[in-house]
Order: sequence, then C-alpha cells, then structure tokens
Amino acid sequence: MVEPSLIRAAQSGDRDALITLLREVETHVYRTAYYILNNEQDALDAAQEALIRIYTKIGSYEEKAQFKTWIQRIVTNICIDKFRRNKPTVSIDEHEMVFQEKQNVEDEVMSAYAVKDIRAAIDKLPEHHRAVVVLRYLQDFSYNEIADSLDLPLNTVKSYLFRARQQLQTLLHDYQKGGVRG
Amino acid sequence: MNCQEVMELMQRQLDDDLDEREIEVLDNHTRQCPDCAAMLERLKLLSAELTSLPKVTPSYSLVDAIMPQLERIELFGQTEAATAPAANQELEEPAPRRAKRERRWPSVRVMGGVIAAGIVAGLFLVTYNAGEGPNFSLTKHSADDSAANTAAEGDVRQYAFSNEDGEASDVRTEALHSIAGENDKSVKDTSKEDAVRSSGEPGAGDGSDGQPGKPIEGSSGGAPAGGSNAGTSGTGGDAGGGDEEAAADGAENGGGSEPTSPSEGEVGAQGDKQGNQGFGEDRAASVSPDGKYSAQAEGFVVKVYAASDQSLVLESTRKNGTLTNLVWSEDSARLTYEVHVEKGAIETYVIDMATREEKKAEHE
Repeated sequence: MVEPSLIRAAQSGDRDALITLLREVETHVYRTAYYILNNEQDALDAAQEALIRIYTKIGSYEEKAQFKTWIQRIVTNICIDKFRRNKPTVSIDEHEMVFQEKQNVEDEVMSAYAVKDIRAAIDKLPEHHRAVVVLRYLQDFSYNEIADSLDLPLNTVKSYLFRARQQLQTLLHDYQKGGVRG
Repeated sequence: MNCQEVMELMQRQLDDDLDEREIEVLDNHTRQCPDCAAMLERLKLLSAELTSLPKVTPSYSLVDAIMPQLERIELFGQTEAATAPAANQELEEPAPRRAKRERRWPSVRVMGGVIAAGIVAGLFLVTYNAGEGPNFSLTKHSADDSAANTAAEGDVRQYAFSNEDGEASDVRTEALHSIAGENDKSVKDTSKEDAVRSSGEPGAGDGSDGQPGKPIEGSSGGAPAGGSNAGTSGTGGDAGGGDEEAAADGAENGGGSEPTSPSEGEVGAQGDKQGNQGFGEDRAASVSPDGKYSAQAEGFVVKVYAASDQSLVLESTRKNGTLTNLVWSEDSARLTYEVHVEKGAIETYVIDMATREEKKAEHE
C-alpha cells in the first residue's frame, strides 16, 4: 500500500510524489470501477475521473482515515453516480450467451463462463450491495474498511454483504441448475 | 438456534469473523441440518469464486492518459485553487467530463440539458417581452432545480465540445466559473447558459457565478453574498454595449439577491440582436449577421474566425478584464465587446472589420 511519506510529500505540493502515488493506486481504482460498472470502457472513464479527483483533492485527505479507504470512497462514489446514469442499459446478454453454448464447452472455457456468471450476478445487485461485495472481495477490505469507504454504518455493511451473497448464491445456483456449471 | 440465526453465522464465517464458540455452534447445527449444510457449502463455493475473480488491470496507463488534464489543472490550480478554497471542488467536476466527451455526447442527459436551457431562455424571452421583467423566469429557474441542474451539465459539456483542444484552458475556466455556484443551482445554470450564449466570455459566467471571494480576472464574484456585489455584475448588463434592454435588466436586478439577472439580460440582448442562433450548435461563438465571421472571447483576447474555414482573422489586444457581450453591427462591419475590469468598471471596444483595428468606444 502507499507509503505515508509519499502521501505527505504529495500533500505538501510535491507533484512528482503525487503522480507516483496515482500510479500506485491506479490499478486498485480501476479494479473497483471495473467490477462495479461491469464494463471496461466505463471503468476506464470512471477510474480516470477518480484519479483526477484524487489529484485535486489530495490536500483534503486527513491521516485519521486510511488512505486506501479514502481512495475507494472516491472511486465508488463516482461509479455509483455513473451506475445510476447507466442503469437502464444493464443487460443480461451475457448469460443468454452462456446458455446457448452450454453443451460443448470444455473445462477451461467453463471456468471463464463461471466468471461471467458471477459478473452477471453481481451486475444484478443493487448499487451499494455491489460496492460492498467488490470492496470485500476485490480490495480484500474488512467490514470496517468497507464502512469507512462507503460511509455506511458497520451493521449496514454486514447486512448488505450477507444479503448480496445470499442473492448471488441464489442466482448462481439457478445458473447451475440450468446446466451451466457443476 | 434456528436456521435463520445460523445463516448469519455462516455469513460471518465466510469473513473469518467467528470466534471458537460460534464456530462450534455452527458446526453442531450443520451436522444436524442438511439444508444449512448445503447452504454453507454453496456460500463457501461462492465466496471462493468471488475471491478468485480475475484481478483485472487497466489496458493502458491511466495516469499517462490523464496527464494532459492534470497539467491543465495545475495551470488553473495556481490562479484559482490558491486563492479560493472552494476552487478545488470546482476543478474536479468539469475536468473528468472532458475526458469522455466524445463518447457520451449524444446522451439523453445532454440533449435534455440543451432543451432545458432552451426552455429557460425561451421562457425568459417570452416573459420579458410580456413586460414582466426577468423575475418571473428567475423564479422558474430556482423552482426547477433538477431541470436547471441538467441544463447546467448539458451546457458544460456542450461547451467543451464546441472548442478545440487548443482552447481547452479557456473552456475549463468558464466551466469552472459556471459550476462554482454549487449551492445555488439557478446561478449555476444561468451562468453557464450565459457563458455559452454570450460567446463564451469567462466574464459572463464569472460575474454571476456567485462564488464569494474568487477574485479571478478581476471580475465581480460573490453575488449571493450581498447586494453590492450583485450590483457590480449588474452593471455588466448595464453598459451592455449600448443595448438598453440589457442595461435595464441588469440595473433592475443587479442590486437584488438574484445574481442571475445580468446573464439573463445578456441572453435577452443577444437573442434580440442576433435572432437567437440555434441552441444545438456553435453557441459559444458570436456569428456575424452576414455569416462570414465568428467572434469569441478567449481568455483575455477576442478572436475573430472566418466562418468558412475557422481560420483566425484577427485577434484583439490583451485586455485586463473579462470579455463579454460580443455584438456585431447589423452590417457585420463592426464588432463591439465589453471588458469588465475590476471594481465593476466596464470598457467598450469596437473592432472595425474593414481596417481590422479596434478602438475604445465612448459609453453610450
């Protein structure tokens, strides 16, 4: 994770430090955006937007918060905003494709489709549930870190995560019964 | 312990959140309850799959991609972020939008924004002509926050759109100024509308953007803060390049608490004078009546382009203030514009297209 000394240098106006810092976090920022938005191009846009916001707001970061949760808060906010805008276009094409090709897939391909299934299932979650899942599994955040990032109470985080997993489990279980996997 | 309670234990176990006693309770239950045991297996499988989702990385360096934008922010950061604490927040908003303007342009939102802006402007013209003065439309403005908001966004993007990258810094300035009135959506809207309609002078958005203590380019900020400031921007409409209607509007509302009035005045003035050029395109430039030229305020200079090939015909000398209210004479021979300098003073200049010279005009 990002060195505190680098953050302090960036905050004190060292532009090179700030750029270095952005390079260190860009993958994390992108990954969250990618799984929340479920679309590479949107994720690239959102991640750039988040990096610019980090760049301009670095001065407002306070050390009492963890830097990684501060960053994830920025990117999830942008994504949830975007997600709201794009919501009508959420598609279920992906698993229709899976069903069409379910008969003759080989194991290797099947695991790829499994990922698609999971992504499609995540895509069906309400925005905050989705963000909780992404932070838990893609950023490996604890309940508390998720709560800080999303500015949600701890209990809400747990209930979102639990409900999200239950819903995902149901969706994927249905896919399985459809013969996609297992 | 019932299955519902066990469900929570199962969930927490996936996050390694159980103590030994709880693990025991869970184990005891799942041993006797095949449904819960199956559920736990499925949840574990799910959790494992979520954990092993591909750790995707961006296909190109995002930092490299945004570097030009960061450079521009840096430029403005020194003049604005340094002087106004709020400037940071303003900066971050328009910048990213620029990044995706090509892709997202024809969205419903933008069109909605353009249409909303049109409705607002049209409303003003109608009510204005009916002699009710601009207050009515102003009320509408603030009444319909969401519409105003959409309009604002649409306009920012539209504006950024109609400019080449070379002029991006100017665009940014205006967008920033326009967006400054964060908590006053009506201000936000009109200032933007203004920036677009009155040929994109930073001054227009600036005067009415209602951001106290933002001493950019010596224009008058802080309209909502008090009547005196708003009055300053009101005088912007006042000098109005000889447009008495604009002057009336500016004077009438300038002293009040509605900082949108000067821009409304300008909208009216321009609409009247130039037959209301289409909303859809090229609102950033003031096109001459014969269609040969388009004039545009860019930073501290006015540039005149040939409409045919967009080549630069002439460029004014650098002015020490914000440029606004570009108005062509009816025969397209002269272009009049105003320079709003600090403390609300206004100088009017006239460019003669035949001689390509500009001179300071007397107040009319």
